[in-house]
Amino acid sequence: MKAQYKSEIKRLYLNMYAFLFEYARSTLPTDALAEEAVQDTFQIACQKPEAVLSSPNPEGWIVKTLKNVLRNTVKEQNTSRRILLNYFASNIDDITVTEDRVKLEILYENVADLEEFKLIKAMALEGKSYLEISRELGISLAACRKRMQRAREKLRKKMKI
Amino acid sequence: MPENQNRNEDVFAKYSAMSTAQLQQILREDASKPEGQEETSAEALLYIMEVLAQRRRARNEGKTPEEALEEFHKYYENNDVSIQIERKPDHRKKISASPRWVKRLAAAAAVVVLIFSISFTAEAFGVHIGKRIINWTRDTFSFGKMEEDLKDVPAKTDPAVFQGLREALDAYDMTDCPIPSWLPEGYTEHSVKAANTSVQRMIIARYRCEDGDIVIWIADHLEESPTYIEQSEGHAEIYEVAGVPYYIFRDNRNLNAAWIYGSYECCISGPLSIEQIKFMIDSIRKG
Repeated sequence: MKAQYKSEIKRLYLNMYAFLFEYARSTLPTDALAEEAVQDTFQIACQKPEAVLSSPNPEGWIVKTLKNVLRNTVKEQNTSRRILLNYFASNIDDITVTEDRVKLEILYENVADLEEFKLIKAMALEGKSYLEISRELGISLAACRKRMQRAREKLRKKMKI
Repeated sequence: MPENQNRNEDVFAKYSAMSTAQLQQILREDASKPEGQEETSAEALLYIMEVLAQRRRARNEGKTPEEALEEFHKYYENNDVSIQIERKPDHRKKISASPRWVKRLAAAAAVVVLIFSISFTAEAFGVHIGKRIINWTRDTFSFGKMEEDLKDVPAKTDPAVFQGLREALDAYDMTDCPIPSWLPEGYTEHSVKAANTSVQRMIIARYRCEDGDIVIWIADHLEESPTYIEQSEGHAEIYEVAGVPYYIFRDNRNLNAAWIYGSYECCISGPLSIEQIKFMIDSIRKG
């Protein structure tokens, strides 16, 4: 990216980050997801600097992009949750109360040991961002995204949904 | 321009007096509106975001822009986001529910699923009830956070397993949540399960007979967050009792009723007739 573009995108970033974070946080359930939505927004801006900077309203362009990022994040979470819910639904009798009554115990069956299941659960139920999950797994952010995509496909096929 | 600034501050001063939750609700509603149908001006939105950001700074929470930028350079700048940002939601596209994923948990799995902490959906018409929103869409999704602990599970005869829905609600300090006291003939309690997570408490009661299962599902939020009940298909009838609207709709073989009572999100689902589900609704009372 040209240095001039970089400088301008950086200026937009520093001026807008806090505001965009608040906007994202109003929609997404965790700080991590909201941060990631803003980061993704500016990653897109870096991919299209001319589109942003030639816009009559670069700030508006950024906000519009964030809105689309949020929609996609919500969709991803919804898809992941639906996959998990199908599993829970068919195994609801296995959910029982522990002695201390404060933890949900789920008896996994043949998907418990699946890495894919754990990945989707981390995002869909625990509200973790790709960055958080990638750090836990010790992989790159890009690898994490790809792994999540494959995980959803695999579990979707396995559960026939 | 100082004059414009002063005028804006006068116009937007009302937002400074609002709670954080109220301001977040405004932002959330804006995010849910299709382009061109936003109701809040861009200036007002910026003002709200600034108010929220100031409050966060005052609490010494969150990353500074500089810290976030450093993280951006390190992790995000050169990574392909791989999400289809340009694709906007198609408001007319029907997302048909696959009949193959209709499962035994009628209350949530096949038809009605509670979403927590997600503020908007692509296609919806909403009925606002305080901070909770019930929207009808063509998409469905699931619970909020759950925690797992793979300890040994007590046997069903163990006293820790609840004998009834009321007992479970009381044990989880959900004593003020009214529940149905009528069930169609032939149904007996099969199980009552409970879950407690960092953001919600959830009780699921299952009643069984030859026709199938009726599930009553009650969840309570421990922190404020928007909530949606979504259906996959079917026409919604709103049945109001004592000022509480109950949303009745059908999906595949089950009839469902979903409603919000205070901070509780509740659902009944089963192979019920409209009369039966209304009897159950009519019987809802405390204790």
